[in-house]
Amino acid sequence: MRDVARAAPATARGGATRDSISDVWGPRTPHTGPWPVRVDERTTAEPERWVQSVCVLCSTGCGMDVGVAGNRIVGVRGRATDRVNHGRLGPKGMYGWEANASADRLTRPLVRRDGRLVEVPWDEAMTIVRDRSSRLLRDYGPGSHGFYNSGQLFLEEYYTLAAVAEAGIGTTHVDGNTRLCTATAALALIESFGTDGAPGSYADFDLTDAIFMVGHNMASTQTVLWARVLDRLEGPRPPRLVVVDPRATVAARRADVHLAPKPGTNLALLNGLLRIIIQKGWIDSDFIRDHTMDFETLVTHSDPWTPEATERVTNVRAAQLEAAAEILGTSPSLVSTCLQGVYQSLQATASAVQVNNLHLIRGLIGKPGSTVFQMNGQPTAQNTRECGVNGEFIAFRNWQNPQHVADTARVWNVEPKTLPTWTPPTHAMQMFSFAESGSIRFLWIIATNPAVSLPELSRIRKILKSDDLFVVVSDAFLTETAQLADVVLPAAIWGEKTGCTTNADRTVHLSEKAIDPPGEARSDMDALIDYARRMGFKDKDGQPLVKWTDPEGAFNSWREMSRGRPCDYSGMTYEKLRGPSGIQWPCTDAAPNGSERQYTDGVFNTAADYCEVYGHDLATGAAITPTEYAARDPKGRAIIKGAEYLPPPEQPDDDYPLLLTTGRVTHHFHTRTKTARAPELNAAAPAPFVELSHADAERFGIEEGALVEVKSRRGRVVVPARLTGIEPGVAFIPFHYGDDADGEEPTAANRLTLSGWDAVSKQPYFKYAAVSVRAAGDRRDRATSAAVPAALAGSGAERPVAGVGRETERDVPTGAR
Amino acid sequence: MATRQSPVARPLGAAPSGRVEPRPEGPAGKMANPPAGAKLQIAKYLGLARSTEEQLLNALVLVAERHERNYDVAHGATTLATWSREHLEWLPPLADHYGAVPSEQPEMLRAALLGGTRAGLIGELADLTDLAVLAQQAEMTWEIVRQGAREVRDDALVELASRAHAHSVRQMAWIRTEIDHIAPDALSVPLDVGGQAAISLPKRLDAISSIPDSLWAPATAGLILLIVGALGVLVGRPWLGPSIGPSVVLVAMMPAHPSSRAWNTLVGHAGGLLAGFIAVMLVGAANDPVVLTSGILTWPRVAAAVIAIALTILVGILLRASHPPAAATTLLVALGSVATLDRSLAVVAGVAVVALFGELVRRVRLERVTPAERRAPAGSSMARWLRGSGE
Repeated sequence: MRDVARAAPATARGGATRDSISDVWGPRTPHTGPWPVRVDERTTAEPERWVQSVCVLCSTGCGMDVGVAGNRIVGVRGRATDRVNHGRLGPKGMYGWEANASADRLTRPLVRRDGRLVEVPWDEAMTIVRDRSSRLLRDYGPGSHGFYNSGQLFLEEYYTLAAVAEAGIGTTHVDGNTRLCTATAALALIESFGTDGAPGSYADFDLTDAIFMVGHNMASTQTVLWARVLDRLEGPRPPRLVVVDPRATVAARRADVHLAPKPGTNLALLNGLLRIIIQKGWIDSDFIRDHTMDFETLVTHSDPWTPEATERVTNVRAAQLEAAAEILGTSPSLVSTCLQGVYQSLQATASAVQVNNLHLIRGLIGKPGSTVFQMNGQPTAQNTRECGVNGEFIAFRNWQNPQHVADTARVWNVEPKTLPTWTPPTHAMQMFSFAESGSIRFLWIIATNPAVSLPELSRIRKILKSDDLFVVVSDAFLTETAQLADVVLPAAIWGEKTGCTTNADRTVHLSEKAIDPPGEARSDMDALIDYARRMGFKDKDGQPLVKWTDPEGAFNSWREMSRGRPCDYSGMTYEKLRGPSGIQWPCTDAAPNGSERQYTDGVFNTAADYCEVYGHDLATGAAITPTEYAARDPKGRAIIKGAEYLPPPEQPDDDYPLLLTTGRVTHHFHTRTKTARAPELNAAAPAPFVELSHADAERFGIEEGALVEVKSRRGRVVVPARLTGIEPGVAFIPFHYGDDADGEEPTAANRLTLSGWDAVSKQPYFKYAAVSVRAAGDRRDRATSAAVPAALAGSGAERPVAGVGRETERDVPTGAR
Repeated sequence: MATRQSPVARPLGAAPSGRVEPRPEGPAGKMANPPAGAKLQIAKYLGLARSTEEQLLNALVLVAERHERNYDVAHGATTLATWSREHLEWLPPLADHYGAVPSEQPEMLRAALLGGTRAGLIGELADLTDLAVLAQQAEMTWEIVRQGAREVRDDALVELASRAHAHSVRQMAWIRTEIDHIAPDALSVPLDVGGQAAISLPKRLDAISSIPDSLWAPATAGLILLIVGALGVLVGRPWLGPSIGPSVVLVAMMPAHPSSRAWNTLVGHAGGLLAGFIAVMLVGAANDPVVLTSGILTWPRVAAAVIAIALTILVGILLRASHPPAAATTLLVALGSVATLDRSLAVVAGVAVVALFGELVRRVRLERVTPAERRAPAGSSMARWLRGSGE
């Protein structure tokens, strides 16, 4: 352990081991092989006790202990024994907990009376919910109910929601804001490998010879994981780094080869890379023959993409492309990661699948130092997916497989026909469309803020305000969405309830209750169980459907539900999770300590009787039928799916000459529901801005800091300009900010975005819209223009100041927790 | 004479220069030279394939435009449309080799589909079901062409038909997937007449396809009649006659039907006039009483009517100008109501005005621009892609 690890300065008055606001990634601990421990800690007072937990402000999943004094959180400390972070914490982890103590937490339920939200007792609010719900169920049937949840809850809460919505109500309208962040990750894994779940482990970063980051600015979105990569880059035998990003991000500036394609052209670029690798023969023919099928579709679809053709479409120079292909094609081991630059851009699933294909044709998967990460944005998005409240079926089961349906019904002790499995689960965007056309009349929104995070905001807000739609919002704060609700339920958040989370490398953590929630706030699990009791949901023997009353009870039912599936928790207990923290599923009697990697024997989860979904046409999203799939049963071989490039839904023209991309800044998460309430994080990035190139600024007569009107075919915002080294022709706006940032003028990036999404994963195109910019009249000296610190603009040629990362990657634009 | 093909078919020329994206080339294999008999049969099915793809393309674009609010439907239909357009671009070399005998059959099929008020989930469901009929027709036609091509050992045609057939199968799969998604909700939502009407009102002036027939047809039919009548009053001639009525109804209510084309309207009525005079001459009925005014029906008039109708139908078939309202014209002559050159010219003038404005009205109603095309600047590679090579 290095010096930094011992520098914990915690005193009676508190303190911090490091300033993570200005030095985001902390001091280096260079390594190859096991990652050294460095414990980060920050307190504001001497804790009386430490409670085991996990950070929930990105998908890395860092183990931490929460310091408590009285009924207050006073600090956090990274867990040295944790397999994910080895003691480290990022800026959001070190500061985000302060939001728990915000003065504007919701403490009592609210109901709308004469157009205003008024406080009522919990019982009265739940009675109103039950009455409306029962009446709609009677008059319009189960399809009148929708549940829009989050990537922020605990596993036990999703599991309860699944039981209530699917077995209690019997509706297919259940989705999470994970649709906006990791739907593509899930579908890409399913299309190639048969089921969801990361093949590899974060430890693969410690061993690999090359790293390929596609649309993933890890330096900003997953700061602790980036610290791990930085430690490799500065250690012996550093891996080579290839980054694909239209912006010169922090990660891109460290790359051996940085490819900056035009927004919307990922699939063309990846086809170009794969074509070179195939033509040069840098492929593992034995692996392709024994462990994959349909390689020829990849040859066919990549064939037209010569380096020259690729350059014409993507603007990436042929020589650059060849340099990248050589690293990716010849490195003996390779870790690839994709995030929102792929998932929220055009042809998302098709592109993400090409990264899987790279590993399949090179045979670099399931081996130490070689894997592909289809990353998550949110801390518990993996749990949303596991529990089937994100648009697939529970425990990675297949809703079209009668045996899988029967297994599920058995665990819950209900008739199989109770479960609505005749149609694919409704995706989030379709849910709002159904609400618009009057088929959904009851919408329960849990821990997310669609009134800021969804595309084409004015339409979404109109739907939420409609008299025909009864909206229940569970949240910790009166978000933009809660303000439009009919009933608002105050929710307990992280630190105030117990439950499990699973990160992007399948590591399960237990987060224990450290303090009591404020006022009458309750966990979402308690609220859902209360609802189920009041609605009288029963199993087939007339017993209550939801048999558990506490998180551990839910977890134990989940262990049964997941048994025999890839995400097998059957060998896990709360007791075991309290040890040296972090256990990776599958964890069974045969593998009691969890499993570091999947597919080590080259056998994938694609067998017709085991796979999660039968797959889709990557161009149209058309479903492959069970009969078609069974006729060509892959029986454990991975499926290589080539894909054709399709034209974008809109193009820049004279009226809208620039392409807009949106994303995250290092110090915020989602719609800032929590991070804006942590004073240091908010001060680091208090207001929105638009990033423009110097060339475009000159062309449109815009000065640094001047207010700019950015307009698309759908809406407009007015924000100050930041001039950086972003590619000319491209503009960037962070998506975190709602319209309340400064009053009068709209500032939410999603007023501009397209109401369009990927054909397969249905994830919206937040990173592609044609816009115009113009100086917005008088330059007013608003707080916003002054408040964009120069250090935060470091996406371009300027050197980042003191390591402060700016950021490109968008995670999920969503709500609280 | 731009009447042989539906007005929505865009010119299909050579691939434009300067296209950025690499796209699949047309089939490159060797063409065969089968016996003339086989060649003609294949030519018929190539004609059927072309016409089917034109109608499918038109229908896909219509659905994309009509249901722009449902991105799944609008975007999926746009993607499918690019494939149909691709098939039409691949066809010319083979059509030149074999010939392609025009077919009206797909147009008549299309005319029976996609009509009425198609709004909301139920409207989406109905439109998708109709699309499936056309996609099925395309799939079958390519299957038949492929089988024929195999029999005559034509590599190029086998490749074209195989690729087009594979696309047709994917088009069908997409339609089925969308139907599966939408049907449970569409069928469980009670019909809200007011809401449906509100949704079906056009949101933009260029979204004429979303106006329901119940508004469009009466308004346009009335408008055309008003124009004919006003012009007739101005020139002091009886341009407005009973022949005009059914033609106007046809163009307003069934714009996609081949019968309502300008060619059919004009040639149909002219043929009817001519047939009527010939029939009257042949049986010598000219001096018999005018049936409608005298109330007396004579055998020569009956004979003239029989011959006139038969001739009118024959002319319609031979000139591909079938137009049921022409039967009214020919009966007016055969029964004596129109007996002079002067009255005949008035009928022709009225019909010509209907043909002209009717064609305008049906083009406006049928011309399709997908939402994506509306956002693509003219001349861009995107526009070329979406609109085919005729850009």
